[in-house]
Amino acid sequence: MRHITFILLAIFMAFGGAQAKKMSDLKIYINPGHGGYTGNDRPIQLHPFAANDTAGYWESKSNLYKGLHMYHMLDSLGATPYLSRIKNTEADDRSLSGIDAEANSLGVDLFFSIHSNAGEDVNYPLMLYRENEIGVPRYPENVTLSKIVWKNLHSNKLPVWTHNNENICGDLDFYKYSWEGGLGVLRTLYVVGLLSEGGMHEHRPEGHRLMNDDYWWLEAWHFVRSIMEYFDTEDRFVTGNVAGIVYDDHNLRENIMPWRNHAYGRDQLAPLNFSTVELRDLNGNVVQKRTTDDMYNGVFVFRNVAPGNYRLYAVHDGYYAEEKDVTVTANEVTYCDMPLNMRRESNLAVTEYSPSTTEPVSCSAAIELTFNHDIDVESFEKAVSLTPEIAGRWIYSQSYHKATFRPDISFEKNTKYVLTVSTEAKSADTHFATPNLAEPFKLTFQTQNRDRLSIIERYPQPMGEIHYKSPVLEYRFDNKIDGNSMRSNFSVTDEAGKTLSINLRSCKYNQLTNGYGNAVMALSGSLEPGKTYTVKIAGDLRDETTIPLVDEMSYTFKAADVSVENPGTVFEDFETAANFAYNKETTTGITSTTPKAQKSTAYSFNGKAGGRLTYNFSSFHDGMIDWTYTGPVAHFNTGDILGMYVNGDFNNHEVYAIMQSGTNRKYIKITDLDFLGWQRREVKLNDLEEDFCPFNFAGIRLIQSESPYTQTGAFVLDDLSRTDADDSGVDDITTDNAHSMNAVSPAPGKITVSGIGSDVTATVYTVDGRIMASVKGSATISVPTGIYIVNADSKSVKVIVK
Amino acid sequence: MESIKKFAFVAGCVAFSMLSASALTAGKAMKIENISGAWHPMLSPDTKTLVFSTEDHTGLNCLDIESGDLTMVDDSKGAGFSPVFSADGKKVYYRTAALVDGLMNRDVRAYTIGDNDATAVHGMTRKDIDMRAQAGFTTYATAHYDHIDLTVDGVTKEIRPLADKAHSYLWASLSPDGKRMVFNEPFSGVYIANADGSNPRKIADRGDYPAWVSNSAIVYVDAHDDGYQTTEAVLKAYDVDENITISVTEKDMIVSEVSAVRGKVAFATADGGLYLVNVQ
Repeated sequence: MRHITFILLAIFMAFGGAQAKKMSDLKIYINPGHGGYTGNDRPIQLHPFAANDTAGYWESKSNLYKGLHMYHMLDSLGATPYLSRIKNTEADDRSLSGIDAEANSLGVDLFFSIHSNAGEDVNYPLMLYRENEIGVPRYPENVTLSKIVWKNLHSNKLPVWTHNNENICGDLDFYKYSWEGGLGVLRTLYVVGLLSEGGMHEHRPEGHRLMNDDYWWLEAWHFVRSIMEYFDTEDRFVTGNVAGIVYDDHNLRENIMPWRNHAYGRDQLAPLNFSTVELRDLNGNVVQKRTTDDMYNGVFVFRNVAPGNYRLYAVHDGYYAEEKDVTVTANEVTYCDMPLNMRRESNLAVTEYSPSTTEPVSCSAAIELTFNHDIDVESFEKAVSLTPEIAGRWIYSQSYHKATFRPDISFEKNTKYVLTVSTEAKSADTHFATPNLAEPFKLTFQTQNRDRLSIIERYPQPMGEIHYKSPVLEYRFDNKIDGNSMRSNFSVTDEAGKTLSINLRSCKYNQLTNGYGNAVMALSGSLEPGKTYTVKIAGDLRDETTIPLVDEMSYTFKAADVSVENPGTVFEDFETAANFAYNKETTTGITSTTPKAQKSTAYSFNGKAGGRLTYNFSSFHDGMIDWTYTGPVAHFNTGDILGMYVNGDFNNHEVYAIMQSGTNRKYIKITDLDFLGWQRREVKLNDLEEDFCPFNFAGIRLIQSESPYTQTGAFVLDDLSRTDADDSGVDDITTDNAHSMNAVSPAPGKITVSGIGSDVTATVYTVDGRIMASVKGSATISVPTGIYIVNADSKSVKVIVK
Repeated sequence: MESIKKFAFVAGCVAFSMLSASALTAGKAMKIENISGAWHPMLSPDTKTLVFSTEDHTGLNCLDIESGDLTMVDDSKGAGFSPVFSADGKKVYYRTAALVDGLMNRDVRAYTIGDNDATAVHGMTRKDIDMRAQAGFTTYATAHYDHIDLTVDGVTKEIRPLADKAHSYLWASLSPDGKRMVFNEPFSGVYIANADGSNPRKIADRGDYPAWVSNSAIVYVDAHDDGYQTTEAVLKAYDVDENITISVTEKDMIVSEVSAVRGKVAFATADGGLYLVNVQ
């Protein structure tokens, strides 16, 4: 090995020092990426082409034409270029290893892979070079070359670049989150090279430029100049170039094509197809002439112009001609855009307007003015006034042909507004003598008597409790709301301030009648029993007409576990069937939709199913539905307790149990459906006459509560149970210390604490130690059936509540 | 010269359970253990020696297939690009690459199998040196971008078997008996022609590194990519007389490069593994 090193040293000595190089010394391999028109060839749909139209944009096509220009430029300069492809057909996908093998075998001095990149809302060049490992370039020369090419491409002023930082990167690093191995086309190279992503073809203004032959040529020219700079060749371009874009100086792209994409700076304005641009010498002779293409880019490049002073002259039908002086320098590009002013040549006029001047309008309405020409915004905003004043802003659309005023919040209710536009307002025609409004424009309108969205019902109530599993909250409004607005303005946080996630799939909006709106917000996962949560609805919540809530609503509620340890004897668990049948004979006030009783696996408190009862009342009041119980017979005697879990629908209707002994029927109220989710309900059947006992549980009656909000709903029952009278009531108070707390008195469903100081805290615990309630001074606490420990003033007492 | 190491080796264990289609059969590919990062394999004419390199052709390693002895011949850039064995398999000629004042230069070196050192044959130059001539061959074919150099008895002439239908030529070679030529045209595929390039017949739409495994059979790599990297590359064998193609490897193995001599095939994979397989 040593003697080989010696020979190499001798060689380097022979070539010692940087020698002037000529372009004719160089061998350059050009790889214009993949060819053809398939999915790998990166089509982008650009106006006016259909998706995948081969006449439209394909990266394979723009890469190839850049490569061909580069080839011919290098060839004409005496260099030896090679191209990995010269056509763009389906067959033009050759293997990546074959490309590398060819470049290696030719012993080329540089390898150029020409591409453009995806990226819709950004535009910048990116140079990628081969790395042996992340952070370690295969050759340091790759980095030098990348810096030079990036600098030269970024010097191109025809694109609007969104980033100005030098974007060069090793391929392993750049694609480390995408795949292993980096770029296949650089992988087995042993020559210096790079892959140039010249810009972002998905960025639509750039995509349109990448349809232009002059634009391809200019990128190739920058590649060749980069090669000259990299090798510091004796040869440089002895000519210069003049490049620019012809565009409307005021109208936006949307004026000439469908436009919903990103554009920045000058790219927001409409490029002008078929504009004629002439490069004239100082004697007025036309040196070169260009017509911009029909691809919505406005690009022109005068190529290979002798250094000197020139005048640019641009014309386009319907526009005023424009002239500009330029100086051409060898080996440089002189950039000179040609914005043209459109001829309007008539006074500005309002052609359409709203709101109506005859009927009161919503406080959320917008003022809209449409003009015959695109307006000059500065003069318009000086000319327009609104009385009384209100905070808001003007928004312009349809390429400044339409001006829309939206108040920051809303117009005041019951108010007369007067909008005036003086004759100071003018069109954007900067050449015409009278571009102003010929007459002042005046618009008067009256607002309606509503300027706020109101919350009319909510569940849970402030400091209310909801069952901790599958929690659902509902808010009702005086108008239908914007559901998207609800999602962005609604939040629930826990005691630590952490925002809980919303189960969007289970959320529902605007399911009420008569124009009322609602939002049913389902939380993901479960809450923690005993913990407090805060719900907030921001003031920017808006109804469907964009009227805002204005004042933020915020309050707290608690999570609870409503299950009971000893529910008695369950006689109906709904695990096999619903066991209820709609009783047509005793039902009134319903639609043709038959009430149903169904076993539901989606709603169950215990086990796998509950019984879901659905209804459709025909009007807002006086409806009543009976469902007859068909399950196992359940006898009840006086004082027995009927218990059940009820999943409410927040429609406020009343639920009764039908108890029957022969022809003697009793209707015992179980609950109002003024809640959502699961609650425990127990009723002591003291009204059953002993003479008629036992009574059977015979069914469920639903009595409609008058409400304009909805006539449709459903509630669910689970684990219907019976507890004998002998076991009911309060029968056990024991203490676990010497002090008896006579001040604690249990009652069915309640514990009353009295006779303690107002600053003394009484705490009610479940037997497993969870705090059910904590009160100061005398209080009555509602609790489910069960055993509790009440602690106050260092004394504890066990209480059984039935 | 780097120290010589011995590697666990399986060449002697290459199984002969063959995949077959008519007269064309392939054994099960066996991995050479304990060698990683190996690319660009080249078998010697006597099938006793295998040289290989790294992903970017830096360095040349020499493996004695029977003993498993591994020698680092050279650690220079480009040393592993297309080395050429002498006809007796005892010498390997190779080029290294260096940037001289920014321009690509290559030299020629020779390594005698079993020796300690390589020797310089030609100094750094920008000229394209005929490596087969350096290795002592007088009849051979070599692709040169837009043509193929066909050398017969030391006399070279340019041929263009596909006339104006070729973009370029790659991987041209003559069959061991000198009667046939194989070459690749990158956009249309692999061709078999008479030794003088006449009567070219396309035998595959795609095929990298075509190499003669016998006078009537070749192997090649059928590679596909998504524009970013190779997604599939299967080693295939083709019987010229029977016009039969078989897949030697499965699709889950990405073959990077292949070399073949007298029924033995060496190939590398994209993860740097080296394999041997018999194709009869």
